[in-house]
Amino acid sequence: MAVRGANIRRAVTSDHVVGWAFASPAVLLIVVFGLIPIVWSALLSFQKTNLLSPAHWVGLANYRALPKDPLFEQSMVHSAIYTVLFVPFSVAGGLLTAVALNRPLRGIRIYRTAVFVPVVVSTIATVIIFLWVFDPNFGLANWLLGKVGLGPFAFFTSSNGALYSIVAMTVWGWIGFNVIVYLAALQGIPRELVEAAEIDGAGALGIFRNVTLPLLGPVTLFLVVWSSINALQLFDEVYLATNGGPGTATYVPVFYLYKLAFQGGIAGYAAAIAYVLFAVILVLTIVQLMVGKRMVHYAP
Amino acid sequence: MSEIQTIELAERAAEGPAAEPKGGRFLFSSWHLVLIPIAVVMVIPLVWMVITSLQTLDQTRHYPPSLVPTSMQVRNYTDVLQQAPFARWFVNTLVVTLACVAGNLLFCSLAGYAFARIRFFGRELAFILILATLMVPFQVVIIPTFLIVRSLHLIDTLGALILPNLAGAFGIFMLRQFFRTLPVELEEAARIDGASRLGILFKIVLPLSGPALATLAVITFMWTWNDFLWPLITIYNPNNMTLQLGLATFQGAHQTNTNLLMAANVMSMLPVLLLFFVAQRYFVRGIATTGLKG
Amino acid sequence: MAEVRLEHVTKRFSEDVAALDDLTLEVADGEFLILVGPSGCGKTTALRLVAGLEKPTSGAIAIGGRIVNDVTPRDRDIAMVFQNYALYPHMTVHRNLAFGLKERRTPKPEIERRVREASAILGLDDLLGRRPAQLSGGQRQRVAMGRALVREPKAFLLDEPLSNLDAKLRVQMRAELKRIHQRLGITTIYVTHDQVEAMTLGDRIVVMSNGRVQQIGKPQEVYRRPQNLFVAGFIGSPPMNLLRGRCADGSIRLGDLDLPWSGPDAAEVAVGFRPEDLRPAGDGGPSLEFVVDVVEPLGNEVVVHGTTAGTAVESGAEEEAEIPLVAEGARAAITAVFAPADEPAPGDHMRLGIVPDRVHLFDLHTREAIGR
Repeated sequence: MAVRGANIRRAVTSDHVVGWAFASPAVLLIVVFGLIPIVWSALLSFQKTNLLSPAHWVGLANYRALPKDPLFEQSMVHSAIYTVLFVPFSVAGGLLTAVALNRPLRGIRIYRTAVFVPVVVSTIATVIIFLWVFDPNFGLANWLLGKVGLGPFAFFTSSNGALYSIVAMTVWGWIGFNVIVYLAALQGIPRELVEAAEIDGAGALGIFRNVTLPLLGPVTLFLVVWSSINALQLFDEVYLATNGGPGTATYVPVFYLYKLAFQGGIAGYAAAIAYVLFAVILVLTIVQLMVGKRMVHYAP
Repeated sequence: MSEIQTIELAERAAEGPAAEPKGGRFLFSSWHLVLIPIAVVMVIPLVWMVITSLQTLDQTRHYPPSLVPTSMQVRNYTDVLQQAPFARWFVNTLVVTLACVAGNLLFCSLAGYAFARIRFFGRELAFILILATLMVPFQVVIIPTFLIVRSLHLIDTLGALILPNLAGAFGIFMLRQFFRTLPVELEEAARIDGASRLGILFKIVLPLSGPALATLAVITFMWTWNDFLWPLITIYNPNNMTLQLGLATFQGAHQTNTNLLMAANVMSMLPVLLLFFVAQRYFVRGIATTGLKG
Repeated sequence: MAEVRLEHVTKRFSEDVAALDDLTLEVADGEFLILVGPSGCGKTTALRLVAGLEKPTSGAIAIGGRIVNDVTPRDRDIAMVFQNYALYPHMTVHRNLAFGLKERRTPKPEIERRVREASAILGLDDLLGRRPAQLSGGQRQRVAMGRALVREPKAFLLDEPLSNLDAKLRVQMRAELKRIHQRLGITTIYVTHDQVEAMTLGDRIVVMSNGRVQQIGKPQEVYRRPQNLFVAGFIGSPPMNLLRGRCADGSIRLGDLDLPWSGPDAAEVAVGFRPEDLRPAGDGGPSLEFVVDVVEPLGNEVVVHGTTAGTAVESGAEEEAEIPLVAEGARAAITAVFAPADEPAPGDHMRLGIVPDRVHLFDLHTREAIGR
């Protein structure tokens, strides 16, 4: 009898049981709200549904329709332009700002806080601010630009300029993130390496080019990948600042699929777009990592 | 060394201590010239927002705009509270955010610890699958997640916002990595002393994980508070909206009442800004760790 | 001419603590000078001041006859080997060696020549294409030295370069360093906390403690005639035995030991004997009673720990919280080194013979050596 009790107790407290007991709430949540939707979404992309009546299979029809869809093509082009502008500006800008902030200056904490705060502000709040700053008639931007002889610009209301205005706004909102990461990395560079380079005869620029920049390689790679992934998933800003417009000038894939699924009742096609976008992100990330790994040498 | 050089050396040695500028180094470094414009560009939109939030409608329609506050119409703020269920939005968001933070801290600790220290059947596979979900962008799963939440009859309730976000793969990954850096000997000593796994987790591991937990809490807070797309899809009733969603609808309704809009914006930002200033260290650390481990 | 001089150099990092206190030092051209002392004694600070990585709070520093207080490190024409080597991780060994020369716009053929020469001297020829991560500790150390060599500087500054190597490698590299110095004759300042390194490598050694110079001299001199209690306790392994005694009526009195003394009377002195100067007492001659406690046979010698009647004196060079081996009642722990043939057994009662002119005397108040 006692042995049976002990056996049961041992079984109940065995690592397998305990392990699953600990992990199951989180694992369950992720399976239900993560893994199952991933698979279901793939299935949806082969179906036609408006989310209300039952779906029916259409095979590859959704995917075949994509290349012939001008709005999809435009979305991808806009996304590409946005990413190609957003990533270099925010990453390089972040690096230069971090270098400037990596000093024992008086009041450096104030400067750092000033640069970090926009990251904390939500996308919606940022859009509301910039709708006002970029207001063509009463906005701060046109006034200040006018003082140096530029403008006035139509910003979000211009079909040529809307996308670039979104670039400017999101760089403002995200550069602080890159600064924080770069600052941490800069402070991780061993002081002795810089001192050795100083003694070897390198000037400030030489140190930056030959010691700082190469050692920041892994971090730069991470930020480029991270920023690209986020850039390709642009939604909030487009929804609130331009609603895809003027016209369709700022249509981007996630915005398009949102409209299709939740306003147009064309969910299967939207799921196909989601997966194509996923594939693009995946391929781009792999390419970036492969190129990056060859160019980056991790410190021992 | 020549005699002259010896004399020079002695003279230089006799000079008093080198003058170090008081009040911190580099008082007037030229780096300030670089940093001030950057800081100004970052801060000016926020400053202008606050100024506008205190102006009358006519003053907002004034061109050129003034960077100096021309009035202190605090009434704007109370007007906003009357014209929209702002307080309700705030409470909703607070409830959802706190629930998600608590959920993540609890469930991700349990799971993270299990993945880090307990050998159980299927552990490797489960972890890889969880990591895989981190790779997949949100837009891929929103439609099915919506359907699942709908079948649970949670649409247009706060439950729709809380349930899917009670535990995230990011938290599990982060805590697992962190727990693995703690010396395993501490836990082994506790096991020999007779503690249960649960006891070890709550009495030994978690108390030593303060910074990691604080970082996860702060990141989850910020992410949940600022989330927009998911509430947009699942919430319709104005009374159930979160702050971001409410703000967006407010903007749609009050596009031309810029002063009210700015007041609403300021109010919506205050909690996160406050948290940021109080816990800046953890914000920064959280972001830095994603960058350096990524 | 590449001599280095520090004149009344003081370095404070805060109001009340001076890392270096009025240091005056001269390194002759081509000399191998060692700064040795426990951690925190200021030796690394002194080195960094010469390198220009820190500025002195007051005082002057000159290299090759030129005052360099306001000269940046890169213009001082010195080369430094760091304790952790500080190799550029993303560059090959070849690029690591060539980096400094490239930054100084040295013409390419000259760079190649110097790199090849340094590589030959240090045996790096096979490693030139590798990265630091692919090298062993000893190899990295040699690359760090090579990087300094190619610069053909006025002075070498080495900051505990051997402390990260395992014991065997350390012995090997010590010989290498000496060989290189004999061949190239460049002025060298070397910092270490290991007094064996100091004794074997230096032309002269500078014993430091708490930011001050305790003694400067040739290794043998410092060993034979330590000028104060700190140096007496720091140099020599196992450390010198120090016991309370007094000088009266022409003799040094210590327990039942009586030694002739021609100096003045002194009520409180510390009497020092090095463990290697103590032998099992032969016939006659002054001796100290001794009870054996622990015996450590080392192969070529035997270290014997035991006690004698008396009180021990602290030199100030002890590691923190040293637990004295046995201290029962009025007995002091002392150590002796015997030849293997004389190995005693624990518990043996015996007498230790002392050679009178190998006895060191120190005034207990001033802690200075009392002359003979």
